[in-house]
Amino acid sequence: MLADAMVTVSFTLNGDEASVAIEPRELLVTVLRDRLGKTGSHIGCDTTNCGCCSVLLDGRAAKSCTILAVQADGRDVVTIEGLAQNGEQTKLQKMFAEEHALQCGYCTPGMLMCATDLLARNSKPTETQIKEALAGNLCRCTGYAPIVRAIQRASDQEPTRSHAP
Amino acid sequence: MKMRLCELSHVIDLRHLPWNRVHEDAEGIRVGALATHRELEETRWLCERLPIVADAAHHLADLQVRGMGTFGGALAEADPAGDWSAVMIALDATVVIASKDGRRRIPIVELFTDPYTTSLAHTELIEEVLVPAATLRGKGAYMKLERRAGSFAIAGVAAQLVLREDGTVERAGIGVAGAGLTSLRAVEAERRLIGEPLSVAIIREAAGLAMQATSPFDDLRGTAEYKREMVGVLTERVLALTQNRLEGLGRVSHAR
Repeated sequence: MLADAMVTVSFTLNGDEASVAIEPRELLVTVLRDRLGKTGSHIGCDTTNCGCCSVLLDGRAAKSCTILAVQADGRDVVTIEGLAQNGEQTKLQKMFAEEHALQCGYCTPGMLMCATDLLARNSKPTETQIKEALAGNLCRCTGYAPIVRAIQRASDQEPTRSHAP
Repeated sequence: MKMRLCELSHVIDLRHLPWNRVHEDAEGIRVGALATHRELEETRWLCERLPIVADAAHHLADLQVRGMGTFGGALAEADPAGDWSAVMIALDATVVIASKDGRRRIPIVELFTDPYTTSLAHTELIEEVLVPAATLRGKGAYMKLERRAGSFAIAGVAAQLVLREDGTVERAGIGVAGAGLTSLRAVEAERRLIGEPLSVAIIREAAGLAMQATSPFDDLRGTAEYKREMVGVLTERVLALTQNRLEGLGRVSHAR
């Protein structure tokens, strides 16, 4: 059957050329995880809700559980593994650590990819803009307040420490 | 596809077609079917010209989904609670449909025939949607009530008004999402506004007529009664916001 035929997909992955033989039905997230070893992109819900699988596709955050890997052909893909350069974490990653913006860490890669996308286009996002940018990412342990603070500090802004009643 | 609601032997990615342009000509503004929600959200001139588009684009799904999902794809999915369908009804838009035999045009309301069902033939694709120049002279707004950020609307109302110099309404478009088997046009509410100056009383009457235009059903998002009530509330708010935008006052509080 035709659907079982393998195809070769080539794209830029974290700055390097990647070329991989896959079945056309495979999702980007499973190709990244199971064929290319980039297990930082997590499969949380598998239904486009939780955002744990978020990667940057041509610089914009996308949920890799709902993209066929063949759709990435010829494009630029960045996963959580591609953020740090020469072992040096980005400021955003460091602020996540300092603000304790993660507990179990399962949602963290998706949070970081979306925040990276946000800060690339808006160097001083308001608290509302930060929250809106993370609307497609679910966290079920830390809560969102420290995540928002980490993004505020990464953009050299005063973090919101408490909310007025 | 992923939910196993359908099983397909082939899937064709349309993204290689050059149909993502957004531009203006003598007829109006043309929005390419393959423009993503995010591309529309980030097209500053479009959002300034049509704040109703900014309202819808910014609150549709989430950042990641907006970057992949397309304007034409959402219209062709014909979800009865779709944001773009209500907005394009309010804008009195025309759908440009392409097939190997050429092009045809239909008013947007004729696209939606049933839930998730359009009047498109299997050989046809939406190429672009034309927002006519006549509605561009006005201003509008879109608001939706959602269970959580990025959800489909429990109910949504879009309005676009064009005023005459004396302040009376020349053209009115009101589209409603989530309150029937398809998105619908609140024709009687539009008629009530035309020829009148905008006032709290007229807006309230139009909201009542918009409620009567709906035929909502009970589902997980709410009861039919609740959805109809919310259409009334949203119509009032969206018309008040439109009035403020027409007066150059910008965005105001949603409070009644």
